[in-house]
Amino acid sequence: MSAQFGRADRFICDLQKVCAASQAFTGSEKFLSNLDRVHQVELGMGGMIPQIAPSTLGELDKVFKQAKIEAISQIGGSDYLEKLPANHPLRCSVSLFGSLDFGLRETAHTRTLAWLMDPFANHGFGVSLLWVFLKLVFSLDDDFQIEKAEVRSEVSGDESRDRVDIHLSGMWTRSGGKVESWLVLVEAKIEADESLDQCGKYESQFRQGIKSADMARLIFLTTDGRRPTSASRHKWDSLSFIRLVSVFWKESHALMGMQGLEFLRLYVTGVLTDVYNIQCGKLSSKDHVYLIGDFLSPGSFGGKRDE
Amino acid sequence: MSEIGKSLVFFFQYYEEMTRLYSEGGTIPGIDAKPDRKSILEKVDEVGRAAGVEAYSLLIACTSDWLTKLEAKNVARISSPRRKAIEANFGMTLDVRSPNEKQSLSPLKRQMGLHFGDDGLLPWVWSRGGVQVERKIFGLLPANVERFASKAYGWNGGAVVFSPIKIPWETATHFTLDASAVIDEAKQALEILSPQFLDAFLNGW
Repeated sequence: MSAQFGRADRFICDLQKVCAASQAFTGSEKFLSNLDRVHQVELGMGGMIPQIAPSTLGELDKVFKQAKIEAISQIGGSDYLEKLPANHPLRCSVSLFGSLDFGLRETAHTRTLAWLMDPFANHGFGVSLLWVFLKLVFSLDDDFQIEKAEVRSEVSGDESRDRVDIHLSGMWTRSGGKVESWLVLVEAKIEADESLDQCGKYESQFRQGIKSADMARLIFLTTDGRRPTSASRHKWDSLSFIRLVSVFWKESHALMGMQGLEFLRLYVTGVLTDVYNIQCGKLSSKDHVYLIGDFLSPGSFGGKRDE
Repeated sequence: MSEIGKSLVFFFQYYEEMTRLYSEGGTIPGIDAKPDRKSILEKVDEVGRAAGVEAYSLLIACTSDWLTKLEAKNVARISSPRRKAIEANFGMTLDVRSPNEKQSLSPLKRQMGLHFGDDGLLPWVWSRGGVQVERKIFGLLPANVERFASKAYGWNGGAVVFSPIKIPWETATHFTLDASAVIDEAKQALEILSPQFLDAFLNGW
């Protein structure tokens, strides 16, 4: 009996301690936040702001001015827009999803990309865009032929609710007649962050398929081509939307007369407009010169520092 | 605070370059090809970090009185802004909840904030509910308050953005700009987000 009282007493005592501690913590956090604010305003930052020498700013000023001049020249000069063909997405002011307010909706983009790459969809492109996509993500030469392909969007590898955005699989024949199976998973992010262990979960879900394919790639598709934080970094390759649509549009010369070409053009304009805030259709003093360079000549623009 | 930090002014004078090189860790071909590329990028990082600290300092000066007033009225529980996040994002995002709401029991439904952009400081509010909810937020505001739907800024649905507090980055010579006018204007602009507005924002529909 006394032992039971002892346990209950100790429980209540501990509970009170925990409550008191958590209240004190909330209060002190608020106090510190207010103190910080007062300190900032009343006393100034003092020595806390890193001091940058004026010469550093002057030097960067020169470097940036020169870099911009070079970038403008590389995209074709300040009148670059007039030099582009009339049907070029940069000259078009209509965004495919902008009119629906779906410009930043991730599923609208991933379903569209899956549709564009699906050889059996009614756009008439056949395997064209799938082929350039595979060439890009597997860094292949031109010497492969797609024999079999399946492209699906929002696919789950198990019973869970986690669905990878695009699942592509199939077979190809490479030079010398070698037949291989391939698999690509694409997880896209436009504005949202990854959920907890999201990419890691896909690695587990699709482990069997990844292992059994002769070649597999996991692609993290984002606006800025960043690496995923929720996975083993070395397993995922990063790709930016602008690079992808640039590669797709470069293939457009082979798609002339196809039913889906106008759709592709408006989609590419939409990515440039809605995802990258490029004002397509007109020249502007606020033109994003480097982004336009990423789109027009992805080989020379658009890398990451650590690559 | 009499002047806006020089690194911050530099950051927004060269917004495209600094965002690309510092915030996104990207490259610029004209800089990549230079033999002193490494030292240039080190300087970019140094200036970017200093600009973040200066942005924090200016944001605190702009929002301090407003936040103290809101807290005193106790119409909402407002999260304490995290310094590192403000420095990294060049903006302050505040979670707004009813005073009685337990943080862990329901998903976050309302936010407000103040962010730097290439034309100045942007005050904004956001509610869960997508673009449909923006009309409802408009309805809570006096007719003379200029406001923009999320689409105007390419933001996520549910955000309403107010007129920017203009900062003439481009006009600064030697990266020097007066801070007092910006702080005064920001304080005035933030009066839109009054205790009455917050009460309606949390409970008004």
